[in-house]
Amino acid sequence: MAAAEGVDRLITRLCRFIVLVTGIALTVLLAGNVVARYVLASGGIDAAQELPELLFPWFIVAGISLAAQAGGHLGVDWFYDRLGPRGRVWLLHLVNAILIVSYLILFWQSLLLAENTWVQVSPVLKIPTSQGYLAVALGCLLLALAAACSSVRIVMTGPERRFTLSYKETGP
Amino acid sequence: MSFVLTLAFIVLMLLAVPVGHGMVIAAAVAVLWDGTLPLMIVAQQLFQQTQSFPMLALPFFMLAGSLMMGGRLGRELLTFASEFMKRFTGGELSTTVVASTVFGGVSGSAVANSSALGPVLIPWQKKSGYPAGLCAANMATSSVIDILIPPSIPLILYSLISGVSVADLFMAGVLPGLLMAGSFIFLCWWISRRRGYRRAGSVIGGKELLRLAVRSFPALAMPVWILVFLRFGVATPTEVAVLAVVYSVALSVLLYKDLDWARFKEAMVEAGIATGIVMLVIMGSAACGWLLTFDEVPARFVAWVSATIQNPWLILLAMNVVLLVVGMPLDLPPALLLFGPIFVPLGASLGLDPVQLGLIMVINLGIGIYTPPVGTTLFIATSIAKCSLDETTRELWPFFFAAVLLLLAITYVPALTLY
Repeated sequence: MAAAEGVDRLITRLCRFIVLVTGIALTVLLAGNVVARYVLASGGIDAAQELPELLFPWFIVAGISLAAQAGGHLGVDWFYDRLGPRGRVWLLHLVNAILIVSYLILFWQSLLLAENTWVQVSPVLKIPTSQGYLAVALGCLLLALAAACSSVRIVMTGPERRFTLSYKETGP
Repeated sequence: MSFVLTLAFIVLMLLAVPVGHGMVIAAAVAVLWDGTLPLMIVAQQLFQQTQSFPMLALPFFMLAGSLMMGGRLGRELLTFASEFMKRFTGGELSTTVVASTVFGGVSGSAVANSSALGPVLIPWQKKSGYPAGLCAANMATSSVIDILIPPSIPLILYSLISGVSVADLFMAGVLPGLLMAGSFIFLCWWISRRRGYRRAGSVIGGKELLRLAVRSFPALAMPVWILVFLRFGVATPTEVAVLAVVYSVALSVLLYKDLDWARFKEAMVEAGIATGIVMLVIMGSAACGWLLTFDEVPARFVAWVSATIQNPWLILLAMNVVLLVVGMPLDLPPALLLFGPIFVPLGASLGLDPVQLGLIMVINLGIGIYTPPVGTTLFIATSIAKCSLDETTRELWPFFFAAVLLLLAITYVPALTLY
């Protein structure tokens, strides 16, 4: 249980950090570009076209992982609501198992894509475009880990604790 | 492959797998089943959606809304709306409608609207003598006005599917939004008059009301300058969203002095989470959409509908019925993203303007947000009102019928959206 909570805390801290850093960077960059377009003779900042494409995948995957921890991704609970307490526990384990297997496979596929596209670089900043696939890979890995931690919590304390109590409580 | 994709998605939905995950996994299962396509296609489609520049508008409109609604400006706005509406019969009740309309100008999400306004308005309305179910029904339905008044997250999503300009969609949403607000205010007045609900407490003077209006002006002005900036090409929708954040930060720091690092940090993280929720659905639906297009499903669907139903009016009616049914179990973004790629070509084959279709889809699926069995704003409002789902649903019908009437008007009267 302690290990699962530790992993959860680590995921939360990492994702909060990514969201904050990329979010602020995107705000400054895009707002600066609007001002620059009307002030500079060049008509804007060259990197302002490229950097959002590089940063946005990281912002998104961090948001998806935090939402997964907080139970933000909604589903149709019609069948779940009709099950007894034992049935619900088994269903949650089954769902988590599906998520773990699927996202581990997609994690591997994203890594392969990143490897294949390593030689492609962005025109202005010369940064490998594969870093975007690495973001997707990280997202898949974090989702698989979050599902595994959820199952550990269900085993130890019951289905009520399938999500972390709040993404805020475990944050820095 | 499309059959396996649909089947896998339905099974995953029944197993209570979240919709976004369900679409990603169903796409992977379909590719594995087919065997002719590499599984990398799914990962590639997930990544592709993160490269969309217009999509960047989503987190920033969410952040701007959160910064404005969570601070003093939000409270000033709410006080202004309630003090203004209290003067009329059923005014406490219709404050929800007016507040949803003005908050629609800073937020872009019905869920954010009901979560932010519900805890303030519903307890106050209950204390004023209105039944909990009615307060909840009014809150759940009025939240949808938020997604018609610019900025609107669902309209941005629709622009991504259809390629229609965000500015045109935002402009087209204003009149339907105001019409919906007008009809809901009338319903609040009519219900209160019929049941004899009386005003509780005193009203403030005209001078004080004017002072509140002046203090609320920066928020009331936001949808106006958003439309002006987009209409005259001052900035792209994404840049306008970022400027809305800068505007909110500047107002909160310089004018209202209520923004510190901790609140900004939480607002940013919440915007990240809200973006994550929507983006997973977008990424999943892109993977599913790619496979359906690969199988030529949208084209075959259009051909089948055109051959089966000859009358365009009936096709439009059928589209609305399908969306109303789909909107009941499915949330708005996944339903919009799943059916948009199928309905856009169908609408084009009928000569329907894509802007009008966008409003039809968003209003229709917006109704789905508060219809059982799965209604996000319905659940939020009911839990805030501390009443049963039955009580809320019983009070919901007049609002539902008014919204459906408006939907039919939007469907068959193009002038309401293409002005």
